[in-house]
Amino acid sequence: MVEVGTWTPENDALDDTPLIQQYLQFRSEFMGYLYAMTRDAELSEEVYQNAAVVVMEQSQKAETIQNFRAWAKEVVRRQALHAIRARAVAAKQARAISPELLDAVSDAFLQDDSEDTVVRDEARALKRCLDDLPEDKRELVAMRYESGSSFDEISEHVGSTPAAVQRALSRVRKMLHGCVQRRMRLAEGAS
Amino acid sequence: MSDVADDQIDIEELVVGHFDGTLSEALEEELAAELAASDSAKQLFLSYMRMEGRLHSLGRDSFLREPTTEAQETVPQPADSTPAVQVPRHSWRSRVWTASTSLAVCAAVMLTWTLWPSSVSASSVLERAQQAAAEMVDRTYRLVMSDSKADDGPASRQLRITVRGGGRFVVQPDHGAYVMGSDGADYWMARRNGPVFVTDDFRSLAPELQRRIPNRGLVDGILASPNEPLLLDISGLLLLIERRYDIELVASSDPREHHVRATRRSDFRSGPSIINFQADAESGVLLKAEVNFRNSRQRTWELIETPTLPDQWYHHTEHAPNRPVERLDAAK
Repeated sequence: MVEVGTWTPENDALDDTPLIQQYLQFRSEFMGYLYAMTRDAELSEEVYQNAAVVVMEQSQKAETIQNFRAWAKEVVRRQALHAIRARAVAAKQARAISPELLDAVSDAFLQDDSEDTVVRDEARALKRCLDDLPEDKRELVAMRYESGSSFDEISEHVGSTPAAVQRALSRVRKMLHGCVQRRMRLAEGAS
Repeated sequence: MSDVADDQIDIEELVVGHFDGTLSEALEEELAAELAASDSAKQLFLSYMRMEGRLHSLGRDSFLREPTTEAQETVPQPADSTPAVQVPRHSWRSRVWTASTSLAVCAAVMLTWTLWPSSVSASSVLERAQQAAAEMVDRTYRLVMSDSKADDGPASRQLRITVRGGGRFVVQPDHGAYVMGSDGADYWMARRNGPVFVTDDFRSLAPELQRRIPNRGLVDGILASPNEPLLLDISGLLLLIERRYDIELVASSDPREHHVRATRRSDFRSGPSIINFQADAESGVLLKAEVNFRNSRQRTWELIETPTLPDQWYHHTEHAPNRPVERLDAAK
């Protein structure tokens, strides 16, 4: 349960960073969750921004949120479920993600209390790992995440098959994840 | 390889398969069971999930094709087909003081400071800057929005903003994902492909744009300053200083410019805490401004050129021709 306290000048003085700015600082974390829930980058962005409206509306109210991260996670989760239901009705996706998995992902997201320092270190490590990627793999990542291209579109561009592109991207993801973990361990060892 | 390691690989296959969208219903349920039963599986999933979010964020900001090291990125100047004339004075960036000349410069500054006409005050500099900003002259600034403590490490976003008196401006981010501006009557915004959104009420534009343009970094800037047009308009910035800030004249190292520091008055709780700006001593034109927020965010403007542009340049048809126009009603 997220605590919503009564506004007092003293409370406000503790952290007068506008809620929306606090929300933006969690962008990557929330987008990761939304993509895990929807596997649709455009829909994830839309849900993220719908949740931003809720945050903006909250900032107009004379209430102080004691634990913004937890409160915002709940807002994002509800918006995600709403969007997933709407998408199912519109039958945009051939098969919905299993409800058990959606629940498990949401539980993991809500319970995740990773420290800010870990999250920041991971982000920095990822940037370095991306820099270390060979040009062709980096281009593959850019086509997928920057241009939002489908496996079909990428395969046409690189002269391959969609299945081969999907496998190649899976390998790059694993490579990046492994690189991030190694850098994190090295940093831990150095400190 | 041990069973534990094998399990880890299996779970990783499931996690990666989920993000690829290649899991069958049975495998999804298997992944769900793993997440519910195993803390290490949950942590693995979460770390992949965070990575996925970062990749989408980096992609959104067009940072994936270029090296993304933490050093501030240089600004690739967009091709500019408009005729431009030189900034009518020295270039800010070209002023590199060498050790050999610094003593002489310091002496000159001291002399200038001593002989500074008593009529120059922070108020007079601000007033002249406001008059210059109101002129119907086109000026292009580089705007850098940075956050040294962003979630993903130091981040920086760069825009070109061309302004003219009468509230006209055009914002062109380096990544080119959108263009927005005002022709003095209407605010407008268009993504690379898609309709042009137009409204005459910027303050109500933010939530409307946010709902209707679910994409790209625009929303960051809009939502970060919903009460002003992104604090982009130089006149708006100077008006904000006039209304809410205590100002003082600061000794400038360059006698050709005046430096004003503005500190937000204690009766105003929102907005940047400190604003510094430099104005040309002769013309009053704002040359550079630095806006510091209480957190780690900062915005800087730097005058880069003074082009000569037709009136029509500030209209959306110049930047998003042949697009459908969708007028947004002001939120009540």
